[in-house]
Amino acid sequence: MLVAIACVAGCGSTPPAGAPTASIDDSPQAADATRSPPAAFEQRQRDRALGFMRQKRFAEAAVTWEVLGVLRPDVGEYRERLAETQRQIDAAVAERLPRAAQAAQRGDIDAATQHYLAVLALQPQNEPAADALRALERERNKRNYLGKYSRFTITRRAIADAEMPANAGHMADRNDIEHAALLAGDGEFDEAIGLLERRLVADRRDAAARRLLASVYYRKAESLSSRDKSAAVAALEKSVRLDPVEPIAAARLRQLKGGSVAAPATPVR
Amino acid sequence: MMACAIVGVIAACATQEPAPPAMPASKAAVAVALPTAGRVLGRSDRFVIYQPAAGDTLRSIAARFLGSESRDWVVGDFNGTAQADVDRPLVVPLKPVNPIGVYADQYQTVPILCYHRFGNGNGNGNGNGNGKMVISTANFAAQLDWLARNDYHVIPLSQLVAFLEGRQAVPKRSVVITIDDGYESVYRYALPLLRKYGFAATLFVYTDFIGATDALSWAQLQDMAASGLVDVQAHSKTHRNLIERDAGDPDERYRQMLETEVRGPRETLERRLPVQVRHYAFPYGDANQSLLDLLARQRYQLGLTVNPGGNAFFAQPLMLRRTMIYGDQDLGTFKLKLQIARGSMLP
Repeated sequence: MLVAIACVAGCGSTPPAGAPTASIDDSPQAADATRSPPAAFEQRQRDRALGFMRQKRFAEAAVTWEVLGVLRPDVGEYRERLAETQRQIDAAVAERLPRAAQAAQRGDIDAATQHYLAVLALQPQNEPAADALRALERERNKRNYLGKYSRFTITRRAIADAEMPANAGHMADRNDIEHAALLAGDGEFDEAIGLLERRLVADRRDAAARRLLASVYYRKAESLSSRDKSAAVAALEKSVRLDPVEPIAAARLRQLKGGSVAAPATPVR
Repeated sequence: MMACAIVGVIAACATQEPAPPAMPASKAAVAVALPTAGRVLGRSDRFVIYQPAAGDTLRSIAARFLGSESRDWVVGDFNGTAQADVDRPLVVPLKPVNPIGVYADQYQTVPILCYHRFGNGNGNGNGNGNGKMVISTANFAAQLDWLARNDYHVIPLSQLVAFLEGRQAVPKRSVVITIDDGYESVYRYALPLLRKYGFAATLFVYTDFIGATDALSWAQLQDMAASGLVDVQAHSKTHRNLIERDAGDPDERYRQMLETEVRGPRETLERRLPVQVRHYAFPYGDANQSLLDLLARQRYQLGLTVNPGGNAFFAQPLMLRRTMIYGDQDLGTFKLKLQIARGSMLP
């Protein structure tokens, strides 16, 4: 049996050159980085593991101690270091998880997210923490995006107009409306305006393009109002001309002309 | 009995080159010729520590231990290296160590790039009158070339499914390419470049557009689907905004509209092309809970918005973020959009 154990420890890998056997010296410091690639590898891994421990990056440290244990199953210290690191991970996770749950309960999604991320940085396989993060992300999407126009420059009427039945020849026009919306949503107002104005040159009766253009001018005005009031007023005037029945742009224009640059009372939707 | 055990141990130990896991015949057929074996310095059920032989590469090591040379990134990412060196033993993780990519200071995200049209100009996408929505072939080629030269891995969109479930890691520098609408310019200009670099892309088409002016034909779509690089998926039937609902619109009519826009394109595409439709890009990037519920019932796996940012493992599969790529963006701007990690501010 002893023969077998010795074999397990000694074969299948060539021990680092000059590394003592477990029965003589358990210290891995004997590994000499200048003598062989395996010994140098061991030394590098050992340095990494200690560095991770100092940085409290326990998950990375645990993996590195585990690798060292695979390299040198004869060295008891590596097993002990791994076990100790695992204990520290368990303790840190036990401290973090309740804080994460408390933050989630009080609706503080960002704090809860960071706590769960901290848990997973320690224990990447922690399924409850991973599931909790997924649930938080669903909640975040529900709050911020679901059911809302991600391109909020678009008025409902503009979209509805764009969705009037069209034959295949007009499909590209419909794409233009979406593309202008995407551009405006990324703050590319002038590009969206250019695209829509070309549409209106081609078809002055294109109500969807006209109303979307009015909406983009409104958003452009909002982006300008704090730094260039006269340009913002000019953009709002265009918006009102394009869509005279839209009350919010007209109200904002009166507000700006009256001297106030406060934010609009009601966002355009 | 003990003798048998000892012999067994010795036999196992003496085998320096463990048998690779079984791999599909197609993978085996293209596997690289293995160089002379290096030395296995240690092995457990989770790790192999391997000292490469002269001529070894990360690809040959991946083929030897992970069953496929295409998994070279597993070795490279774990060891933080792009090459094998006889003087530097490597750790080969046999099982995913951190498939979710969460670390103390940051977590992995996968950017999904969103393109629309392509043009033949050399300039900034203004070649055919559609401004920033058109990417010139010169710009697209420069972007793909930059990705290739900087060790990015363009992965198929479908590979995100296992990543989001926490089952499989993806390369640290992963990026997904998607193209919306189904313009003919995709076939004319983008496909040759995708072929040149061997990069996968997902093409989201709305089926009413197919065959229209400027749009792809069914024959072109079949060619693209057969290329093995382009995965054709659904972008609705009509391209309308699916969260738009007129006041007073009865629930039943709205439900029927969603059904038409969700099931219709899948049935059409699967009938006409050799594809399985499992992913859906929302027109205008907009979705609501009714739409997500329907997608789930219809067995869609991934839904794509245009909300910007990369996707962590905990991203909602039916609400993935995408990054718009515009025709006037230079390479510097393109690089900034490749969000492959986010910092954690751990409290």
